[in-house]
Amino acid sequence: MNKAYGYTKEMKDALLSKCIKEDSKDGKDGKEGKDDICPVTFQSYSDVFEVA
Amino acid sequence: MILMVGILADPVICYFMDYCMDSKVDFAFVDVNLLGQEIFFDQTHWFIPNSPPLAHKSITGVFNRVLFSWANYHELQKDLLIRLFNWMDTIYPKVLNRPKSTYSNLSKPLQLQWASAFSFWEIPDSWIVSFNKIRVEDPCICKSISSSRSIVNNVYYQQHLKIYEPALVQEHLNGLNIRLHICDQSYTATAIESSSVDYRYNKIDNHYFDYHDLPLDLVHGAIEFANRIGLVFCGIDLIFSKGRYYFLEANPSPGYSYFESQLSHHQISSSLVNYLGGRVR
Repeated sequence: MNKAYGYTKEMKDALLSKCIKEDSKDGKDGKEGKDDICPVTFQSYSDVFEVA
Repeated sequence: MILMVGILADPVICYFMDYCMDSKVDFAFVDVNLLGQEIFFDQTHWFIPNSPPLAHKSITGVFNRVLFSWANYHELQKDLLIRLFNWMDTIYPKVLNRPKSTYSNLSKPLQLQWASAFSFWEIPDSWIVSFNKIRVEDPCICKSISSSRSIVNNVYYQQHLKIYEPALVQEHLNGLNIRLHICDQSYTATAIESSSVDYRYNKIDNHYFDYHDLPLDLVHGAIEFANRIGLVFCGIDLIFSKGRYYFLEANPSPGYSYFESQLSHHQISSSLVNYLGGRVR
């Protein structure tokens, strides 16, 4: 096993699912984040980061 | 041990950490949103929840993804972040990239000026326009002059256009987009065929593939250029048009995962690990 201090894939997945869950509550399809609910979502951040 | 510095919501740092986990490379993640709350450091160690104290001297390299506004951080958090910037700028032996080196693309015109000193690529005809009303006669693209993201477009052709903030207007080059990722002496070139002017916003018919036709003198020159502007790791945007290679810009914090995830290899991630001294178990 390697050392991976401070991070697990589950942490990332939890953040992602939290954003999707909040969006679903709001009647969205869960594929897009909503900035005012989850200030930083994978979807909105992907616009900023993925092709920086 | 590689130190990852950024936030959990950044898919690029998560992609790299996932790669390290799969490749059994040791790392520690400093989520800067937790600085001063759950994560601390002093002159000798990092203190990360559920982990033993981590000595600075055990860190072989730092992957720096702090590229967002931290104006709303509380005082202790800001103070620690400024100290961390100092560590990354002056103390840690290898950092991708050092904070002080990431400011070069705050001005695209400055980058273009620096890049124009090299003869192995062309610079597109460029104009800076502000507080003016213009009519674009020839097909041009319009984008921000700073590092702020703008959607590159050519919708202004033959239209009257009022421009207030300084904007960069460039000749519209039809051709093949190429992203050249450089990490130290390693490089990976990816071509993007797209029906859109700005392929980043085309989710439909982009086609990504490894590009092996870059002339070696251009590659070596690009490495020298990156070195000269202080970027050990960067993503250079090129376009092959009219039989020539054109330089568009160099990104100091490239979102390389976007490109690598379209390909069937992990050359860029591997080069990052190699540079940062990652230890494979």
